[in-house]
Amino acid sequence: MEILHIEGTRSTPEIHFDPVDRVLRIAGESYPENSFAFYQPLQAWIAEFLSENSGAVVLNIGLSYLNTGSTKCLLDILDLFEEAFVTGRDITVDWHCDRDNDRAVEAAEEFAEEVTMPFNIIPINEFP
Amino acid sequence: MTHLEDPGRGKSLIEKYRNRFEESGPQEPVSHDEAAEIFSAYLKLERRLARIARISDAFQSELQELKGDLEHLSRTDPLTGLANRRDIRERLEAEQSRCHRNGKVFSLIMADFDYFKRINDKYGHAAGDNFLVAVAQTFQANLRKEDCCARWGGEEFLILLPETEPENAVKTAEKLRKIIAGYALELQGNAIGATLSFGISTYRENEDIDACIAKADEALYQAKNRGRNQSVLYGVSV
Repeated sequence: MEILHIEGTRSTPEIHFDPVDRVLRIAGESYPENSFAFYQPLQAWIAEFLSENSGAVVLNIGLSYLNTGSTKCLLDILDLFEEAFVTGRDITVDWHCDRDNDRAVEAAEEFAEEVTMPFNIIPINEFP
Repeated sequence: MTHLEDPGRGKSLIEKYRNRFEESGPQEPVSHDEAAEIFSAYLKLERRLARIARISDAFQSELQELKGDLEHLSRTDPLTGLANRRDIRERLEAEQSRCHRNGKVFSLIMADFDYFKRINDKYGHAAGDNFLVAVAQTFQANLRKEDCCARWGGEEFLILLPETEPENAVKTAEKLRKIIAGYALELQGNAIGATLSFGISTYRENEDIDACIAKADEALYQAKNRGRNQSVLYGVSV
C-alpha cells in the first residue's frame, strides 16, 4: 500500500499514514462541512490496511477541535482499530491535548472510554 | 459479548436487519436471541449517541467562551483596558437614539495629556504607558457606572456621560482634572506629575455624532490655547 497523505486545511486536519512505520497521524482542527465525505476515504484506507497487514499500529492524534460529524467519524475510526485490537493486534492510541484545558481532557476521556486498547492522554507540548 | 469486545457488531447487525426489514417488511418474526441481539445493538448506539453529544457540547462550550473573549477583546484597548473607539461609537449611537426618544441630552468630555511627549522623552515609553494606565483607572474609578470612558487616541480619552446637562459635565471634567493634577506617579525614585486639558460638549437633538465629538475637540483645543490644565465647555467664551 502507498503512503496516505492528506494536507491539512483551516477546517480539516492533516492526515498521514505510512504503512511501513504504521503510524497514523491526525493533527489539526476538524470541522468540514461534510465530515462523512471527508473521513470516508480514510476509513476505507484503514479497513483495507487492517485486512492486508498485521503489524502493530500507533494512532497519533492531536485534534484541538472536532465538530459533531467529525466526532462520529473519529469514533467509527477507533471502532475499526478496536476491532483489530480485540482480535489480538497491537494497537496504541496517543491522544495529544492541552492538559490545562479541562474540557479537552474530558473529551479525550470520552474517547478513551469507548475503547479497550491502550489510550494515552499526552500533554500537547510533547506533540511531535 | 459486550460492545467493547466487538465494536463492529452493532454496525453489522444493523446491516443484517436492515436488509431483512427492507426485503420482507416488519411482519417477519424475530427469534428471542435475535431480539436480544438487536436490543444490545440499540443500547450501544444509544450510549454512543449520548457520548457524541457530550463531546460536541464540550467543544461547543469552548467555542462560545472563546467567542466571548474575542468579543471583549474587540471592544477593549489592550493597554488601558478601557473601551476602544469601536465600543464607544456603538454606545454613542445607542445614546443618540435614546436622546431622540426621551429628549434627554448627553455630554462628551475629550481629555488630552499636556506635554505627554516630555514624559516619554524624559522617562521612557514605559513610564508614559504607566501614566496612561493610571489615568485610565482614575477616570473609571471616578465616573458613574453608566458613563463610558474610551481611549480615543494615543494620549487622548473620550468620555460619554449619558443624560447629563453641560453644567454637570463641566463638574465631572473639573473633578477628574483636579484629581490628576494632584496625582504623582512613583517612577525610578521620582514622583512624576502630569496634567490634562478637557473639552466638553453636549449633544443637541438631531446633531451628528461626529459633529458633537468635533465640538468637544474644539473646546479641548481652546483649553490648550488658554494655557492647558483646564476645562472648557464648547460655545462658552471666558
